Order: sequence, then structure tokens, then C-alpha cells
Amino acid sequence: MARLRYVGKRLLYVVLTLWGVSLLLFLLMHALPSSPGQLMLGEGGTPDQVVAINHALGYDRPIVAQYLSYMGGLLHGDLGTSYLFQRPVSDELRIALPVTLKLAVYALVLDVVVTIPLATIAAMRKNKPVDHAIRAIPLVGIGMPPFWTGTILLVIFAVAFKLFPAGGLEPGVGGNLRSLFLPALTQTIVASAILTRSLRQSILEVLQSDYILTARAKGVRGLRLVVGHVLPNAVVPTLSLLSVLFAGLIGGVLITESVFALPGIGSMVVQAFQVYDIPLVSGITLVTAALILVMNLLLDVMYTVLDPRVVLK
Amino acid sequence: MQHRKWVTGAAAVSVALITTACTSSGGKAGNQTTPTTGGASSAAAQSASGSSAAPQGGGDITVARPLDVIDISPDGSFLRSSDSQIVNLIADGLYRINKDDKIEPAIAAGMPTVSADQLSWTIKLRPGVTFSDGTPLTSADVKFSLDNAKSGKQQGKLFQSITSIDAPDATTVVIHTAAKNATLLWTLASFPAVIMPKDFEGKAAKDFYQMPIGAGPFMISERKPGTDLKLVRNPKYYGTAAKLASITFVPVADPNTRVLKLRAGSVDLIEDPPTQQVAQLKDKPGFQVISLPVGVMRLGLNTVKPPLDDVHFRRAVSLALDRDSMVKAVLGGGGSKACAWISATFLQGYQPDFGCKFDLDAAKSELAQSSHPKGASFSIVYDSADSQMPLTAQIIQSDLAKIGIKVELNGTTNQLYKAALANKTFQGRFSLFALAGDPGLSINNYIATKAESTSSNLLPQITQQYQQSTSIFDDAARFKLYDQIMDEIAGNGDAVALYSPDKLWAASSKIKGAAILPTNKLNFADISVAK
Repeated sequence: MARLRYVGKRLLYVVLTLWGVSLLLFLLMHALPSSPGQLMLGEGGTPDQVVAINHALGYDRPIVAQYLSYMGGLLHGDLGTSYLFQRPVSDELRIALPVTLKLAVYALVLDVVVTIPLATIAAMRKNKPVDHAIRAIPLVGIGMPPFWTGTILLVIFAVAFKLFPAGGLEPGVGGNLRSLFLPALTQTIVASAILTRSLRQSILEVLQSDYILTARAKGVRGLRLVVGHVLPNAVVPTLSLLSVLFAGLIGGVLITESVFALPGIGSMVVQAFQVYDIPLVSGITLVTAALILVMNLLLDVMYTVLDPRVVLK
Repeated sequence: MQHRKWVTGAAAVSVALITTACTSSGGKAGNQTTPTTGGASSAAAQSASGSSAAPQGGGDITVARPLDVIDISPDGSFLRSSDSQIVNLIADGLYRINKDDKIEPAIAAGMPTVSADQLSWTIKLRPGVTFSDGTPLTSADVKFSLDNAKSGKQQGKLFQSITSIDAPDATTVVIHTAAKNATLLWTLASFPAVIMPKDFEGKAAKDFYQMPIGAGPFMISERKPGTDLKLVRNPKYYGTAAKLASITFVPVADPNTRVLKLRAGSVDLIEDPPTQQVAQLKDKPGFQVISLPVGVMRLGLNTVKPPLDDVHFRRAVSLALDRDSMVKAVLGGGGSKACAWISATFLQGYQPDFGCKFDLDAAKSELAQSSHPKGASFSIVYDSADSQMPLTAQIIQSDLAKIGIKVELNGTTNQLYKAALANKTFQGRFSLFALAGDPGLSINNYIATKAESTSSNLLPQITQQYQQSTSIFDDAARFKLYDQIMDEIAGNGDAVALYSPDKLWAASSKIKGAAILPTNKLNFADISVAK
């Protein structure tokens, strides 16, 4: 019951935060020095054409009336119409968002697959050469910007060895897995460096705890000790880091999707920025904010599942 | 006056714009005459006999371009060359521009018959032309398409001289104009004038344009927004069938990724490879680079903002610029010097003498005659993310410092740059002007957009001269007037031409026959794939 109350309260915060984001977006749209007509037509547009487009979009109405229409639309799930695609923003997101989510989930899975063994090995071999190597090598990943990492991966694995497609999204589950591997790996190279160090530290702390000593005294050793006793306790602090990294990951796909020519919201927002498609940029921002807020909420709830000592208030 | 010989086939053009051109059109449209062109006649004769050439070659290719296909309506595609390219592949107009930069009939059976008062143009349609779905194309479709073009937000201004269109029978169209319009054929050969089915086949326009049909060499087979667009050869095409069986266009925003995809063999052609990688691709076995100078980068000076309101000051600016150095430094040699704000290709090679001149002594002399004999300062606003503008601005700053003019560089975001242009708050600004076809179209655009925000003090004079040019059907006489306009603008120093950058494509060497047309479009219908 307490958990349900907590989720309800957090959902209310989510709604309030999204309202704040939408208000900020609306104000930013109107703070731009150009009108939508000017942005859409560019310098080749005649003044009459600019006025006609602004009128058609309702941009010449009082700002309060525009805001009420905007909010009314949002409450009905209408994110507006993209200047660029001339289609509802929600339709565009319906096409692009699944690609981005697939990439994000793929990257998260790779993060877990890479991070847990590396952190465990590093912790179990504390201060040994393998520990130093595991701690040092991923730092290179942090130092490399994603567009550069992605390009290098493409050159090696797509151009030289032709193991993966050189960008684009192949159809089907197998095609998706193949074409999203390098982009997901690009994200993982950055994220795993941070996650590995965090998880290694947690594991080391857990290894010093009394219940691990007890388990060892009872003869629990090796993989059983790690999987059954260490990881469930060590992974909780890393989860909070994961929620922060998820926000970064969503931001990161903006670059990664462009480099790998993936038709997700990252590529879409790049196109939208190029032509100042304000409704599309706003729609993507709102949905991204919602995703991050919901993800944070889910992770918070997961704490209580993984660690019953955590009390949600 | 300096006339420059251009390499055969070279034709600068537009990133996104109109596809008209033609200088002689194979004969002028005179009183009750029917002008003809060789190519057109033969094409018409071929079609009239009802024999389309059999497909040659074959093959499927994938093309990576920076942008997705977004708007395939003839008018809306004006904003993006990637879209207007598709329009030109799936639909034909009454006329088209051929590879020699001449107008030839497409859906029209021949050149028009013009009435004695030169206000009515009668055009016969080729017999047997159908849309790609097999529906016959009639004069009602032509009337609908041209009426629709006239109401276009982007390019409707091109068609405003048309007062009405009659369709007396299924294969005849009569176009009436309010005044004599010597450039009407070029307007009819532009991509906004392609023929679409009447009433969009009973659909709403936006629904029809999701998967439009036309009477072009290709037709849309599949469209997945954000992912790809596939065209296949139109088996019902009235002209020479395309050699390729299919073309798949994929959007790849990152230029380096486009090159990597080409190198990996996952695409066959890429648009706009990074200039830094062009030399490498040229030297690499298995690849080829196709280029053509496109548009003109110019420095627009706001003639109502001091010190630029002084014509001698502006002339001093123009004379002090070393355009050859700009070509080397900014374009890495991938382009050429420009002396007029309209590409020399469309001026029949004409280059205003003053616009080409680099003479520091003459610049100092002009400055001495100005109201700022010891120099003054002005600012140039530009998009700091543009690949050419920042370096160009620095070179100009350095060049003008030699005669005592200080330039403040105002590099800003694309958004603020556009706002400065729209609100005319700038003193100096850059613009890549690229409008293919008869110079009259560019001059019309210059007037309609109020000198593209340059606030030229010459506008009233240019407007009068342009109106005069529209009634001159004799090409030589009309071009003489265009040359005069170019001289006036160059001498006025309000639109200072700098250079003409190359349009670039790179391809696998298995692609044969690829060339950039005068319309700035790649000749996809003539491309084949080596076995």
C-alpha cells in the first residue's frame, strides 16, 4: 500500500514536471527572434507568404490564446504538426521512438553484460594487474566522444571486416540486432567505464560486510557467493547511477543515431533542428523528459524490490 | 566585359530550386510559330509512334543523401533539393531541360504555338501518355496541375503571369498570360510545373503526396519515412525507359558515415561527401567523384545602413576582395571564382567586368571618393556552423583591412543568422544563391524577395528592367538586358559575388553514366550499373 501511495505521489510529480517542461518549451518557442513563417520559408519567403503561414498556424493570435490551444492539444495527446514532415508529431514519434527505445534497451543490456563480469573480476582481484587493467581501459572510453568512437567502430567492423552493417537499420529481429550492435556498443563504451568503477566499489564494500563473512564461514564460495550474496546487495547503488546514465544515454543517441544513420528520434531531432521545426523539437523533448522521469520512477521502485530495507516515502 | 568559356556540360545550379533553363530553346516562340528542337522532335516522334525504348542495362542501386524524403509535392519540394529530385524522377512536365541546358518537350508534343499578341500559348500533348498507374494523361490534368502550381506557397509566384488555362480537348492546352512572358517556357519546365493527376485522384492533397504518381521515368514502390524510399522503373513511361530497375534512397545525415557506407559497399552513390575526403575518394580505386559548380556565394551589403549606404564604399569593398584566394582557401579548389550573383552558366558565360576585378589601388581610390575616405567599420553576420561562411568572413576581414576597412565578424547560430536576414538588421551577410534556369527567374526572385533581404537601392530600377525583359522574346536581346542588370548590380556593390562552390556526388566505379544536370539533379534515368 505504501509503495502504491509512493508511486501515485511520484506520478503526480511527473505530471507537474512535464507541465513545467511544456511551459518552458512554449515560452522558448515564443522567445525566438523569428516567426514560424520566417523559419519555414527561410530568406526566400516573401513577406506575404510569411504572414499567410503565421496566420495558418495561429501565430498571430494573442499569446494566452496560443498557450491555451497548445495545452489543450497536449491534454488530448496532440503534440502539434511538424513543419518539416507536415504530419502530426505524434505520428512521427510513433515511427521513430521504437528505434530509439530498442537502441537504449540494447545499450542497457550490453552495459549489464559488460559491467557485471568486469566489475566482479576487478573486485575479486583487487589491486592485481587485471583489476588495474579493468579500471584503466574503460577510462579511454570516457575520453572518446561518441561520434568518434562510432566512426572508429564503423571503420573497423563495417568497412574493414564487414561484420556489421555500415549504418542503417536492417529489418527483422536478426537485422535489428545486427545493425544496432555497433551503436549500442558505442553507448556502452562510455557508460561501462562509469558503471564498472561504481559496481566494483560496491562489491568491495559488500565483500567486507558481516553477512559475506558469515556466508564464507558457512562454506559459500565462488560464483555462488557472488551471484547469491554479493551482487544483489552491490547492485543497488549502481541502479541510481543507471538512472542518471539513462538520461545521458537518451541524450547520447542524438549523436549515435546520426553517426549510424538510424531512423530514431536522435536523427529526427537533428533534422528538426536544422529547419527549426519547433513542434517536432518540442514533442521530442516532452517525450524524452517523460521517458526519463518514468525510468527514474521505475528504478526507484526497483530499489524496494532489490533491497527491502529501502523505505519509500 | 569578360566572357568566360565554360567547360562543356558545366552548369551551376540550385541546391533546391527551380529547374528551368534554356537560352535558345531551339528557337524562339514567335508569332504563330511552332519552335522546334531536334531532341524534342525526335522524342516526340518516338512517342507518337507509340514505341518506348526497351529497358537497357538494369540493376538496383542505393543512394545515401543527407536528408530523408520529406515533401514530394511539386511546390513543397522547393525547400529541399533531395525532394525535388524525387519529383523530377516520378513526374514530367510539359517541357524539360536537357543535358545541354536546352528546353525540350516532355509531355508536350512539340514547342508551343504562340498567338500574334503573344498572350496565348497553345500546346498539344503527346498522344498515348499515361500516368504510372496506366490512367491516360489529358489536358484536364495539365490544367489542374498548373492551376495548383500557381497557388503554391513556395513557387506560386513563378506562375502569376498565367491568367487562365483552357483545355479545349483532351490533348490541347491553351495558356493565357496577362502580359507577354518570354520566360514562360522555362517556368513550364521547372519542377513545380510537373503534371499530377486531376484532383489528386480524388484524394486529399496531403494523402496523395504520401505516394504520388506521375508520368516520369520512375514510380514510387515503397516509402518508409525516416528509413528509405524505393523507386522502380515506370513500365508505362512514354519516353526512353530508365536503365536502372530500382533506386533506393536512404537518409544518412552524417557526411563521414555516408563515405563509410560507400566504402563498405552498402550504398552505391552518396550526395555531398565532405570536401576533405574528395581527393582521397578520387584517388581510391573503385570510386569516382562527380562535381559541378553550384550557385554563387555572395556578400550582400545592406544599402540603407551606413557606411554601406555609400556606393563608393561598397565598390571599394568589391574591388578589395581576392576571390581567387577564397576559392583556394575555402573550397580547396573545388569551385570557381564568381563575378555575378547569378551563375555564369545561366548568363551564357557572361561575367561582369567590375565583379571580377581585384585591384587594391582602385579600391583605395573608390574609398577616397566615399564619405569615409579613411575607412570605416561594418559587421558581417554569418552562420558560424556553415562549412564555408566563417573562413570566407575571415578572408574578407583580412582583405579589407588592407584598405582601412575594419570588419567585425558576427558569427552566430543559424537561427539568429536567419532572423537577422529576415529583420534586415544586418550590415553585411552571406548567401549561397542558387536558382537554375533563365536569369529572368532569378531576377524575379530577387525582386519578389526584396533583393533577398539585401535592401538594394537598385530595386525600382531592376524591377522596371525585369518587366521590360519579360516581353523580349528574342533571346539575344533579352540576355543583353540581363547582362546590363548584372553590370548594374555588380557596379552597385550590394550583391558582391565571391565564388561558386562545386556540387559533389561520390559513387562506386560500377555506376556508369552518372552526371550532374544543369538543373543540379543527378541524371538517374541515364545511370546504369556495370555487370
